[in-house]
Amino acid sequence: MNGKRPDRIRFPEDPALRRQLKDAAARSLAGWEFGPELRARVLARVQAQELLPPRSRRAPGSRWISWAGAVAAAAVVAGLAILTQGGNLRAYLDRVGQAPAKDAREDATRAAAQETAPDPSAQKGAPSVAAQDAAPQAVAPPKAAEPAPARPAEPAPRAEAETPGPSGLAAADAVSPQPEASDPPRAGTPVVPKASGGTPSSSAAGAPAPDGGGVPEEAQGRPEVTILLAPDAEPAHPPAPADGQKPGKGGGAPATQPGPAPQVQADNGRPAGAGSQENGASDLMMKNGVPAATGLALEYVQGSGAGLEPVRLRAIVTPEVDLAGGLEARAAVVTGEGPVPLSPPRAVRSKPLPRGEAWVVEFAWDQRLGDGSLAPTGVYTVRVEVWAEGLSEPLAARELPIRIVR
Amino acid sequence: MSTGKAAVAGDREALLEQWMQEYGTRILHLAFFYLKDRQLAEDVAQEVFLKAYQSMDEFRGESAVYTWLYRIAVNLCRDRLRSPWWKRIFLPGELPVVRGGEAPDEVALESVRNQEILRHVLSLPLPYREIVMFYYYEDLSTSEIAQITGLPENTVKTRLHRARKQLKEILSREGVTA
Repeated sequence: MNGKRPDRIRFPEDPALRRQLKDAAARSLAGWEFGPELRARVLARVQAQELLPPRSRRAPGSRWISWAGAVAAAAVVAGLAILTQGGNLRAYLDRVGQAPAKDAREDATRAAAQETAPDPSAQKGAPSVAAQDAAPQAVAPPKAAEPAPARPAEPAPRAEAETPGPSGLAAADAVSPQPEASDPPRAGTPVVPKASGGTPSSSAAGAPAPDGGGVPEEAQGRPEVTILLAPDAEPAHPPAPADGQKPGKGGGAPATQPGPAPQVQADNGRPAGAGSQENGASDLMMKNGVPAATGLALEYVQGSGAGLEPVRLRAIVTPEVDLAGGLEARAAVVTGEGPVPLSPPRAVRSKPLPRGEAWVVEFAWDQRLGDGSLAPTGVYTVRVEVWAEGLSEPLAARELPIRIVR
Repeated sequence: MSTGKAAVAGDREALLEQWMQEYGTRILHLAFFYLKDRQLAEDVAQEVFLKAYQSMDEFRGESAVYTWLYRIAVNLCRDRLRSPWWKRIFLPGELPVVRGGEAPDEVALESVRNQEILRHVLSLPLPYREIVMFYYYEDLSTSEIAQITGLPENTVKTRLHRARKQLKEILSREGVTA
């Protein structure tokens, strides 16, 4: 400040101060550059996008054709439904009116499963780490209404019974952790072909109800793994331990690679040729040597560390390219003693995640460290990583500081 | 600088690589000023160049490349900031601690002060912060800022004036002013 104009700050007129202001940024951001690694990522993404059919290359009006087809199909289905009711419109309407009952049925099924769950305390707060180990808990389901990015009609065909429509994907994922938590014995079971048992779909999305007692899709993904997060995200992972093995406390075990789930990949109800799309996307990511870019955002849902309430946070995965199934979100608190897995320590998505859609997963931390003790006052870092099958490094990773106040 | 129109794929990638080398770090820092998060800034910076690549043919060379890239970056950052979950990402009142390099003892105090200044600049409301950033860190004129941000130049000048005033108040209150 040179004191010439006390009524105004003099950055523009004071070269020294202006320089200082620039120095402040230069020093603070020194060494943080858009280096070769980032440039390589961009180039890899460019190459990956060029291999995908860009939206601009689609036939003009194809979107309208898709919509028209959907409307026509819906009309045909409605007509058939009426006809099969022998023209009894009232009976048909009564049947339609039972649609909410499907939701209730799902809820009842879920509630029954929760009753059988050994420890539902994560829903209520402050589960012990041991309890988490025995039965990875799901946190409260994310808001089904969480806005997922709008997605135009995608040409990729899907089996109706396996995956909901585009608008339902995010919502279906929003509740994906819950079946895993409500059905812990199945969480570690080997992959079960989807055709054998239906998949849980979000009733909010209007997706078909599971045909009763099906293995939750998220729970049948792959064998249970132990600690799912390495602080430095090193890709060197030993094979996953046997099913049912408890996650280690404090992160003694390094992160494990998601095990292969060929059944999930192969038996997803897709028509011939569509299955290879998943592999193709995976190959695409591997081919470039750099994972396809995936947006990952973390947000606090509840709890700022005050009191003993679990700190809940939400991870939102938004890929830049269509991703095949076999995604896994892993979450842990990074401590000096190693990572402490959150609850649930991982969430699996076996369905594809198209570009423009979001996969929302919620995690919770009961504020306990690896030895089960309450975390003392301080700032802790929650780290979430998104992994995809076949990749040696996470698709995305994000950290979020949490301040614990006692 | 050739436009992308006549460039074949290899040339386009070469041009992109050149842009990244030339402007990548500035775009990265620009995104940081908006988002105040290094990882998010890196994400956005990558997206900037992806979009630039996709829109390379549309760049007619009527403006400087950096102006065009900045505009893409600004739009992407604003999109991020407009998303409904954005404001809940950071704990209230918590600003990211910007780590500086290893500072020798004799300049440690200066380093701390620099970081304080930067921290206060980052605490400015976005409409002011972006103007300050472009004006003081990027040395852009108000007309260039208007072009990048899509604001009328008079608005830019008004915001610049108010940003100075607000920054002065903050720095004076904190005793950070030089």
